[in-house]
Amino acid sequence: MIQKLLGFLFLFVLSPLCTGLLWRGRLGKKREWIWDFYLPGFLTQLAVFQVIAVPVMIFDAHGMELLVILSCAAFGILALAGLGRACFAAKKERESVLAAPSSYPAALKETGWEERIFWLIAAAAVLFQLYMAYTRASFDGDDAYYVVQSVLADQTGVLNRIRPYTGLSTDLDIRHALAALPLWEALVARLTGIHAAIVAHTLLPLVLIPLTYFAYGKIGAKLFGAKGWKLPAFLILVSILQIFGNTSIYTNATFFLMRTWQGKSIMANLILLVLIWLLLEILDETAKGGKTGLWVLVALTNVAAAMMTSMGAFLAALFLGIASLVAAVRQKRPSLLGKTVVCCIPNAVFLAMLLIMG
Amino acid sequence: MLEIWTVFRNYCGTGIYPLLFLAALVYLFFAEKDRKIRLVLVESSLVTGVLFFLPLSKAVMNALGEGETYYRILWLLPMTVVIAYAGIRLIGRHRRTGMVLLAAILMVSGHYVYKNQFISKAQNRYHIPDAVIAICNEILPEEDEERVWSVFPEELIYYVRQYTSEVQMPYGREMLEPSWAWNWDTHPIYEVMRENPIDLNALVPLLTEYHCQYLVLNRSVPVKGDPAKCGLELIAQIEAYDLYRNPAVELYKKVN
Repeated sequence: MIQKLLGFLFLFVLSPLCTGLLWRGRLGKKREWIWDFYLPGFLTQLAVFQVIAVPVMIFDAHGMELLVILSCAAFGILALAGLGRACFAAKKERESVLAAPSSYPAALKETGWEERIFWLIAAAAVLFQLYMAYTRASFDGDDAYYVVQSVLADQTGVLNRIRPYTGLSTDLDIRHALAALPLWEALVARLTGIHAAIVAHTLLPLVLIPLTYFAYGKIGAKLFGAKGWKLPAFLILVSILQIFGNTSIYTNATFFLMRTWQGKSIMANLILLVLIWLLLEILDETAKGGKTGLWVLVALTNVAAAMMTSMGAFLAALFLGIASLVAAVRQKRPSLLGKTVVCCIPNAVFLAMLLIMG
Repeated sequence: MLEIWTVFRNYCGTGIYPLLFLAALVYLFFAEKDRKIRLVLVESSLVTGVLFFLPLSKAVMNALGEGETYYRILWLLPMTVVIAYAGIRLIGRHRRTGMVLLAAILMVSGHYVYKNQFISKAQNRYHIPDAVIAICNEILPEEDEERVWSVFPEELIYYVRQYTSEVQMPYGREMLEPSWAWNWDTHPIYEVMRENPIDLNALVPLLTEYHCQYLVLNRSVPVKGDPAKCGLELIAQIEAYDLYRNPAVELYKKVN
């Protein structure tokens, strides 16, 4: 139980939050709340894991131990760097850009009753989805591949060299293996001591569903502003669209609530939503300050996209390419295209690996 | 073009959310003044939509070996965000009536995910049937033994190795997917197991040939032949399943 708690705290609380502190003041917000650091920190972790996992997997068939050591070291270093940066900045700055917890009740007082009720309904809708994710099992044939890869990495220490369906040895299937999410799920299983199938089916939805709604919240805040009834109302409608979005087996919503733990689902939902949010921030001409931090986060999100599915790098690059091309033409800002191309270098690397080695 | 249209129709399925999305896009195209929102949500979506329907795009995806997953281009359309955003804009100051009306429209025109036939009450935190866990626990090798081989009925095949890597199977999911022509329907044991009734006289020699120590049969599927006479030993009955040991194949010890 202690291992489960400590592993969970490290992977899903302390490390993403502290790593997220590296992004403090770099994402275009004047005043940041503690939860603003979680999403950037979490994405940074995923991207770093992908960069570590791919070479380890290619060069060491029995590399799970090495992967765990390197990943924990990297996560630890990132978290310490984030903490160090926050402490250093706190000493330097006269006025804190981080909203102190003491200011939370004041912020709550500013909200009207109607707004509070909308927020309560939005929270209840998310809680309902969490409850259903925990208590309902969703069958998907792909789990016989992806979840088993996690189980194999965790239980045998072998990285992608065992046929998930049977147990026979096989060569590295780079097409699937380049998307290292199953190995990350195996890492979660190792560090928490929780079975990889429980990690995938029960634990991850409890993290990924709220995080995806947080990304929707970031988008909503850009569309309507953070205050007022419109943001919670937006989140309520989003919840309804997800819960009633099972109109076919292909929709983002179907993947979101029926295959939450699979890379395709994270790609179709969390990753693309983060890219939408980042584009809205980057193209916001009213926002003051540099956008370099946002572009760096776009690049890291691209690496995380490659971790999700073999076509993740392609889909993310296509999305960014279309949006930046449209923006560059309409706003007459060709530099946008150049920055997008630089951010998509990781995508090009992973796609080249896929085409050459796949 | 027809192929692309079919992909689109399949993506839309039974709901009208894509139509609502289209209506929302048209509304925002004329009503939205904020430049960043126009660019990211409206104009980019229009370009993506056009790109999706271009036969050249489909040809490129086919060349990349992703023709079957062409529908994923539609993931790039921010349908949820656009519909919800346009909805909130539309209701304006009529927030209470508007929200109730919008919620009702979305609920009626969609499909409730938790009614899906593939969603059921979880039996445990693994979200794997209890029967699979009980059977696997029964046949798991001892510490000094090698992994075991077992044959399972179709409905359990997907789950076994999600629970443990210690139980191996001569064939797995690849036999159950008719669209996977590359290896579907080719394993000799599966050719016997998929029949009704299952011919034990044909099956047991194959189990031995493929070094399978265990066989799991669904009691509701009739068998031809007497398991005991065929050399099988019934070792457990778990829920709807009979678990047999094939003594012709020993449990191998690990070589240190």
